[in-house]
Amino acid sequence: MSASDHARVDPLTVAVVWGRLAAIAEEMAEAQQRCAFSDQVREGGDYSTAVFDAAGRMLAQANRSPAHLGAMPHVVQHMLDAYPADTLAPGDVIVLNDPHMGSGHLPDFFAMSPAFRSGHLVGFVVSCIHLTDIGGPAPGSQAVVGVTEGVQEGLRLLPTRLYREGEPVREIFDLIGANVRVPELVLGDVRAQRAALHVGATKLAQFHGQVGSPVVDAAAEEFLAQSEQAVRRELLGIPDGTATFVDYLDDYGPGSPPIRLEVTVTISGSDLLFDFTGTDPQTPSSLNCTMSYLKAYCFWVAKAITTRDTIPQNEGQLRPLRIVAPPGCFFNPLPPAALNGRALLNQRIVELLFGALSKIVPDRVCAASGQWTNPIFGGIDPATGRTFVFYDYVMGGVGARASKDGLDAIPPTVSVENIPVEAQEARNPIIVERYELIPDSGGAGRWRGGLGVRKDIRMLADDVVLSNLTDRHVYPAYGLFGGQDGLLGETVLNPGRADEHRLHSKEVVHLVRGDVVSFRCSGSGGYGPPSERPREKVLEDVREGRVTPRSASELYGVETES
Amino acid sequence: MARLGIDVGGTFVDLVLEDENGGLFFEKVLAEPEDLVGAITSGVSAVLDQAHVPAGDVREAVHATTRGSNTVLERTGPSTAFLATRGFRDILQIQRALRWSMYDVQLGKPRPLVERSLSFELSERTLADGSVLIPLREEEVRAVAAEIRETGAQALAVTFLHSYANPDHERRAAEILAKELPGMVITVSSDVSLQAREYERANTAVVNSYIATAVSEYLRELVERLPSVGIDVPVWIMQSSGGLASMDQVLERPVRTLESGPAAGVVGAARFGSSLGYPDVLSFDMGGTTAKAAVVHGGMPATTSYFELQRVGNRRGSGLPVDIAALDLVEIGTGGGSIAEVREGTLRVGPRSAGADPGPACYGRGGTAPTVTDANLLLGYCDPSAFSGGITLDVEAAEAAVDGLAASLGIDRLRAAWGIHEVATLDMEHAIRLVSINRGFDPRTLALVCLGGGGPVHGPRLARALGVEVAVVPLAASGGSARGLLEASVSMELTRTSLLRLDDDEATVRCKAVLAELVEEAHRSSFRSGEEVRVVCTLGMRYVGQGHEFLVPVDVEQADAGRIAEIFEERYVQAYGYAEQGHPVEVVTWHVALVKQRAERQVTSQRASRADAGVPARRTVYYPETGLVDVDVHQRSSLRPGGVLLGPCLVAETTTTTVVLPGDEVEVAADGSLLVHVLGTK
Repeated sequence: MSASDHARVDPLTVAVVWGRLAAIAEEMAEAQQRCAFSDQVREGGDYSTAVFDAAGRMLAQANRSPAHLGAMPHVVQHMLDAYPADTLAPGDVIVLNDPHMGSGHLPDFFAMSPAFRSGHLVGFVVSCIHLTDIGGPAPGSQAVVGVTEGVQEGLRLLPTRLYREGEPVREIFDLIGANVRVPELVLGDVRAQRAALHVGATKLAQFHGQVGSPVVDAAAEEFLAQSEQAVRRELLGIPDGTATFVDYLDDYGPGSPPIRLEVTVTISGSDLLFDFTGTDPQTPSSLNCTMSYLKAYCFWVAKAITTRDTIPQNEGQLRPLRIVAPPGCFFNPLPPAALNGRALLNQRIVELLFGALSKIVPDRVCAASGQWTNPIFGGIDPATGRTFVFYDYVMGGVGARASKDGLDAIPPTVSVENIPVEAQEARNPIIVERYELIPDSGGAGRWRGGLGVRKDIRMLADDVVLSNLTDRHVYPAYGLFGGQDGLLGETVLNPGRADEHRLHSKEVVHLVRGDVVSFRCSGSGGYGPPSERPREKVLEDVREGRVTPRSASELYGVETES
Repeated sequence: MARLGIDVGGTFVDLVLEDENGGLFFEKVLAEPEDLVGAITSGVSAVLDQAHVPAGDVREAVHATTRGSNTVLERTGPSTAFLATRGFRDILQIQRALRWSMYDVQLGKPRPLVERSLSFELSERTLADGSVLIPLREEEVRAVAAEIRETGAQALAVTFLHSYANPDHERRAAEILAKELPGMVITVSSDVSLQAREYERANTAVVNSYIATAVSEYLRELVERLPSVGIDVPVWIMQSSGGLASMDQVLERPVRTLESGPAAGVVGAARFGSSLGYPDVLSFDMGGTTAKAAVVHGGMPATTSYFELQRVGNRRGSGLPVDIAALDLVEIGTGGGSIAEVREGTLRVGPRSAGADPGPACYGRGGTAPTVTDANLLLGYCDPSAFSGGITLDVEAAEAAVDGLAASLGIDRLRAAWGIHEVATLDMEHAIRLVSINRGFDPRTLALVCLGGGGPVHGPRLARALGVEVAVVPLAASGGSARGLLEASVSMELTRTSLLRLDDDEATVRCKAVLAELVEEAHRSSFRSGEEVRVVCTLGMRYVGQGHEFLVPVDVEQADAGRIAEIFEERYVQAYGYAEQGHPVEVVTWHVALVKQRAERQVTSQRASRADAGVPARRTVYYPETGLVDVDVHQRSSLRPGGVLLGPCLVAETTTTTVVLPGDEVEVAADGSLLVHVLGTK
């Protein structure tokens, strides 16, 4: 359908419809978070929600995880192929987690409901949650090593009806429950998705009733076009150009080679091309990145350099962007590739693109950021006698900007947040022994990179399996324009003890009671030469313990008293 | 006896005096920042003069202050230190680490009130169950006290992990620190919050220490100088929870006064609603720069135990969190001064504001950007010759401002003005949905109480959009917060985190025990024995395994575990469409408020055959339902209780105008309130 098929709606109606649809997506997100059972959803914000029109186009997404943005339209299309719209009824919920149908990796679980108004389909509402566990070889289902094929990674659902007219399909709940380590958490989260869908479908139907479906549809057509135009206007303000950048992932497990990532960015008029040709082939591990995930973070970058947070996320803003990744490469893996370990890649896609874009729009990007760490522990909790899966995030910082220092301890590209230590200790057999900034870890520069973070966790259970998931133990976060790289990260087992040793960034390791694992996220890159940093800023960094007196002297040439 | 309410806002001090017959008198003076107390005392004199009430007749003064929140906003507090469990001195730096504006490369984190170099730690450790892993060593406390003394810090906050479960270490450390650091303001986290989540609790302790000196100096000066205008009576302070506290209580926990002013408006709305027979209301208070909304259920404002100071654009994570009992307010960057502009091809209103200076274009003080007030003027909703504060509005300036916007949208002036009004109303509607529907309250069952200069202008339209059946415009609605002060009760709130599964055998017994203990504690700290108080109890509940609590009011007398679980499920189904069948329910947080009873006002009902005793003026007004239309402009002062007016019409008073929509009906209540019955359809 083109815009001319619709009655024209005035700009004010467009604003009303757009605002309401975005608000519905937010209301869904809030319901989902409030009803969820797992820490990563209820405290960490690892989920998203969106509203689609009856034609399957995404109209609005909540301001939550951007990871699912590129994926959702793809997912909905596959669901509708399996369950055509005329076979759906109010209260139905269709789910899938097949990575090649858009989920990207098995833990991301998508759910969709149709919204009906007086018997007529008016749209779809969609939710995605990162589930705590979906089976596979290690707790939390994100093990990188020892996994070479998708079928090893856990339960895979193609489009499946989970609720029929509001009634749960017991067999499917049983199937999911039987294949995951912590069924209560997982099924509780799935029901929270249903709560979000209920809220969304009800609101969407009401809204169509209030303003009329033709008005909503015409307004949607218009604001998708406006969104596209907003991105294009910004792109026209950027000089045309082409730039290439190369970065490396350390490896995909102990003893494996580095993975070369390459992109060539071309801005031409109001079009944007991201071409990942030159990137290494897919790996024989679970560290691979599907196109849908790549697309989500390509879109992240396109938005960050154009419309930022001025307008809500929707499909219109994707239109000026074209993405090329050769089949079989790391960013476009072919079956039977394993995929579950991709979580650490979100910021790496952005950094790769920012590296190239720094040559075209240096003031709209930042230097590379501290690599976040996503370790998962599992075993039997001695306090309850039941299986636990402890899923954690440790956030490094953000790279320096063209006119600002980077930030300490905040994710560069995702909406997840720290899970309070008091909540973690109350629910898992662990003690957090320290959680602090790492001095001198931010890359020196005119603008200094954000500091990395150290988190030490002691085991209170016997026989715990840890899947480590991080990077930049070998290749540091790059600085820009003379700014230095951030400090490398490391993971250390039992620091200060006789058996102290380093763990690999993607190792799966067995721990015993009393073991302490120290996660040290890498620091972020600096921006501009350190020699240009004002002396007062260096002195302040020393006073605040972000830079040691020795580094002030060696890197900045600033001597401090005492 | 006469009573005095003093509400200090950003620009003005609002004063209200209630004489012994219940007569109300209002005064507004500029809040001079150099001598705020002087401004207050001159305002007090003015309102006494106006009412012809001798100062000696005033028996009670009630005050809402912004001193605490301004100290944080302007960062004018003293050098403040922080002491934490070893390994956790960076709690205030790391925070919750939420990327609150996803795609903004230039993002900033909320700036902590404590510098990293003033953060200290010592070896001690309590676990989640309250047991002690590493005992506190007193000599280590003394050693760290010496280090803190060296820094010259004047205030200190202490947060040890899991102190909500066992505060012993914090309390012992506080005793030693107080001895070692005479004159230092010291707050321990378990004294201001008993909730798990270390960053939020730590920051609450920090804010308390940071604002303590400024708040106490200000309040002491106020109490010292009020007698110079003849007021020598107890001064009660409005807390963020909507309850009043004595000066002494506030000096102990000043953090509880952060949202003093906004709370007063909601308390007012609750009372106005109740006295008219609407115990369930939506309070809607629209001023010059922002609008605030809150839900009142059963006469009690909804409360929260978490809010953020200096939040940006209503985004969670952008401000400094504070774990205190506060009214559950949503603040929207939409006020009379909010600027309308075209962004990304669409009309947007706010959050940029023209403020009071230069103000809306129509103020004629050099503002050129079109604002909500300019739009309302062009729609005929305001009288150019009699605007609030005696300002004469410049219609031509408003036209020029709106024309610019209209041109860029390719529509005419009137349509653009309507668009600004509509988009502003829509933004408020969205925010209100978040505090109502998402908390399990259906706006269609609530009455909308309209306060502030903009409340009566936008309220009836907002009511229609939300499906609300009646909008209430109390007398002197634009000074609603000051009036709210006189409606507040002395209260004490306590919140505790304590897990209780409702399917436990002993659940009912334990439930009663926890509540009894909290009630007793609240009573002991705030009331004399034998004082008549009402107990209001709200439980934060969830299904076992969830992380967020759903607030459920319960009757403390009938605290039966099974019944409580049922009430929870009813609310849950209402909000989310399903219940977790057979899944156990637990209580997590226990909120108890003791409220000193106030005598209900008696209002006698009256009937009038003609609503307006005067002769209404006429003005041309725009409604989308009718286009331009001539309507009656009734003077509020000439309306008679019991009368009914039919919309479309306007009801004007010196500080605001009630915009009655076509098809709606206005009933003049016995107390002079306007009840706008929403009969017209959307």
